[in-house]
Amino acid sequence: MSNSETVTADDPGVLERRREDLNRVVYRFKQNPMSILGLCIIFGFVFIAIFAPYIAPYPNDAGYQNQPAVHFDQKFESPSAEHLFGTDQAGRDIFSRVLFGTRLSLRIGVVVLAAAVSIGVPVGLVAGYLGGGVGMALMRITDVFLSVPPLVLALAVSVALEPNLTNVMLAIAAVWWPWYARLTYGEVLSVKEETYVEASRGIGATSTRTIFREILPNVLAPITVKMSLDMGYAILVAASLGFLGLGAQPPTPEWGTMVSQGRDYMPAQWWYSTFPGLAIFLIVLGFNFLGDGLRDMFDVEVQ
Amino acid sequence: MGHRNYLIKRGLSTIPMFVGLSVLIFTLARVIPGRPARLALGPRASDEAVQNLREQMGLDKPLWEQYFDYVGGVIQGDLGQSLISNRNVATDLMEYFPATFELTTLAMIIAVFVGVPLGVVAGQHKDRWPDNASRLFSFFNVSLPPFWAGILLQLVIAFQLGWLPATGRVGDVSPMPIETTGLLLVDSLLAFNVPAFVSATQHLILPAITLSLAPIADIARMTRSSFIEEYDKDYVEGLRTHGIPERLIAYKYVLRRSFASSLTIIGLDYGFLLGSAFVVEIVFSWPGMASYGVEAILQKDINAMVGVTLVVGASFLLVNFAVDVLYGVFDPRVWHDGDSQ
Amino acid sequence: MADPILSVDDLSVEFETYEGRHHVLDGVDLTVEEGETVALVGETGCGKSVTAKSIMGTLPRPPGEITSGSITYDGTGLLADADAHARVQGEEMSMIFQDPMTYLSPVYPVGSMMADVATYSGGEDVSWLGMLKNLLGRRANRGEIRERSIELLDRMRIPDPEGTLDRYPVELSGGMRQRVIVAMALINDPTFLIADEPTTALDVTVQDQILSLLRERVEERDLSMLYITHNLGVAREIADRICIMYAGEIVEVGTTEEIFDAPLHPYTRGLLDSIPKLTGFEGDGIDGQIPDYTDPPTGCRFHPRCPAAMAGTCDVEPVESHAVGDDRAVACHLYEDGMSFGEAATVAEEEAGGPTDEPVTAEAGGEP
Repeated sequence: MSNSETVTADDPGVLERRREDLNRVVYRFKQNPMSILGLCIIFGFVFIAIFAPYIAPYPNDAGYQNQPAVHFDQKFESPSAEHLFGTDQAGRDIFSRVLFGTRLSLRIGVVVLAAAVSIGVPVGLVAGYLGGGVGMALMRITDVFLSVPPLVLALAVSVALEPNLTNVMLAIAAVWWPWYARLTYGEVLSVKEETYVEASRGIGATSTRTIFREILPNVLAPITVKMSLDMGYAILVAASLGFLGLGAQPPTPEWGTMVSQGRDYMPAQWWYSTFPGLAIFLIVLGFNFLGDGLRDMFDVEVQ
Repeated sequence: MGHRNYLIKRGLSTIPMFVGLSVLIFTLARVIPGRPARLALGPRASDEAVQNLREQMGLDKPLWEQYFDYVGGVIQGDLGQSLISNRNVATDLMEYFPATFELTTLAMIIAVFVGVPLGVVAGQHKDRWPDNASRLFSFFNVSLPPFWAGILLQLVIAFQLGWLPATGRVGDVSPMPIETTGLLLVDSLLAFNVPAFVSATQHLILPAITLSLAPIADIARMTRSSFIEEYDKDYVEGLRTHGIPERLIAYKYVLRRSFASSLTIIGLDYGFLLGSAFVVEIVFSWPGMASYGVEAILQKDINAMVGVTLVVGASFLLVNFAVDVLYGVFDPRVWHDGDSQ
Repeated sequence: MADPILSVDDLSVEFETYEGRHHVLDGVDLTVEEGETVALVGETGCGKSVTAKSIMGTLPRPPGEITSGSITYDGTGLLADADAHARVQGEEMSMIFQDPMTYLSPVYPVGSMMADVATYSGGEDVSWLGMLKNLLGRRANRGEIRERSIELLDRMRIPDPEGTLDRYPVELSGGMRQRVIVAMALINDPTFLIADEPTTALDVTVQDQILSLLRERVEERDLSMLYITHNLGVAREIADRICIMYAGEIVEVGTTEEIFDAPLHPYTRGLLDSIPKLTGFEGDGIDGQIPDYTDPPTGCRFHPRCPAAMAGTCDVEPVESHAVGDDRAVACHLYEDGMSFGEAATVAEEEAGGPTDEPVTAEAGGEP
């Protein structure tokens, strides 16, 4: 047990200050109306994702329960009370398909970022903590990754893969981790400079302990902010791959794929591309609002 | 003096990045599950055919040997055979690259000329309505999927209003200007071919605007924050105390310094822009390198895809090198790194 | 006697911040005669710079607000007339800043900034076309301005003045930069100069050089100067008269010799005591800190720190400035209007209790 820890727990002043800090953080978040709006949008999408089968008027049109439905007699109906977003070339209800698409997009975002963080953060931690030749080499590698735009690199990776949802996530995660490695690396360096890490080393704390107790909590805030900002962008990249035909294949109700299919029926069936695209726009906007609010709240710089 | 040393140092540091880039892309293309020859020929091809292609592509050699063969080729301008066009990938790229370059460059020019003033106005009116409006506008821009934004522009401006063509690079113009640079705008100007120039411009506008949306937002935000930061500096107060007009302070002194910060973002954005070009070129049927790259991926044409990725990565590195050089022009302090006390 | 070139009367400035209203200046009176150098001395945060900014018209408003008082320059009321203020600011007044590291633009050669000061001072606006010309380096009297700049830099004893004009601040040492800043302040041949701690950021030898350069120039051109510093030693070197400032009020005014020979205000005495002396004698200094401006102490703002504070008087009654003798003023309850200088000096002497006495502690402050 280190001294610093006992002091922290017993000193009411510190707790008091922590509570004040937290209050200020919450206050700052509330000060930013856009971040509240972002939070509402995200909650809305999560709600839709969970309850899609109950909200969607025609769940089977989106392939729910592996019972894909087609109604060629209803194809290309323009938006109406019955079909809010109209129908597609197979007479399927676009509204229902867009609702179900929420599940895919959120899943892609979460899986990609979870994978990217669990590769990138350890790499950054190790590189930053060890420093020297190993650290240098690791960061050079990440630099190389960062020199190619993520979408292009993801495309390059997906050449060798079958186009499907899992591989899209794999491809994006494979090119996304360096951003987290770089961010963590920078934070570790700046935290290392600060004296308290020196101090905890001085009283005999092990390296692992230093990493987990001192450095990790400090990199948490910037990583959270970056994840929130990236979530939207990862969804966007996945949708782009879908749009190019490299992601989920029809009839999966993936938004990017739907926009791409709708393109073939432009401009007469304008609704086909428009509504799935709107959904992408809204979810990305929500995450951007939220991420920006979080950035103000934690007062951190990312990228 | 500092100039030359700085440039040399910065230039040299790009070389290992190039090497790393080539290794990375090469590794991705060869090591990832699924072998290139099998991918290229498809599952129904006979094993013998696959084996022949492997030998033909040199895939039976050890990996490091393959790499050096490839790099040797690259240095001589040989990027391997494309499986779809049956030409050298380098030849294909020479044909398609200028169209992409023209598009992305114009998009970047639009982004700078819209984004920087937007950022300055927002910075000058910090926390008042022009700032909030610009902030909201930026959020919308970065959140728009480029392919969808392109489709909306096509729907409204091309199909509904009929103002501009929806797809392609140039209309039915004859004679077409002789290709010298491959940049249609430049070529048609060189040949004083007004109809071709007008048509090319009309075709460029929508895709260029689509591509510029996200960088506009980034540049505006970056300019705003660095402008505000710079406006707070002591020397600004000093200039004001000496009675220097506010306009001169803002545009001569403050903007120059904050533009240097924006340049960094411009370099990064160029990379994202090259990425977005892949979807935007598809939307607008733009005959560029990105369209070629997408085709290559769909057809599992490994050499073509590696070539495209290499060119994209290299352009990105070069743009960032150029940005760093320009940075020194706007903020001469970097040149004196080390020779000041 | 002629009218003073600058007179500040009853100037009060408040700052609106999220903590509340700060009463930063509370009825400041100050005069500078023609050809005179006045030092404004006080601790960091006592309102010296706010006074300077109010005079120069660069007080940020909001959050700052001038709530009362007037500033008269050469017969012109500046606060009432913004145009006159801008004109005077550009043509007749000038200012030297504290930190040579941050008061020069890092991205232009120093000559470019000097030329802009030479060209645009005086508050006239610049058209977009004019600015374009400026950026392209085409201005009307380019050669003349350059010559003037070179001559000034030469007067500032800068080696290779011509080459220096084309250098960036990053290439110059702190002392050289401060000389450039002084030259920039002098380029329009001002008649009144404010120097805001121009030597604080420099090392001692350079300090002396800059001070003597300034003194030379003041004598040569008969400049009037308000010299702001927290260092009484520096003030003694340069000033004819000294104003001691504490917490937004002028507490004592006198000629330099008088202030040093016979300080009247307990605060002045404290300041003098805190000057390190070569004999090794360390003064006691003054306990405590400048008070909070949102809720300044009632009565005399200095009473919580004053060794001579009288309970029931100093903490209750607002203190007014008493003229003592011809040329002397002190804002302290120990003194009364109409006291002769001799009487005042006696009071001060008694209060100090002689140089060998134990210092009066804060708790015992109520005793006479």
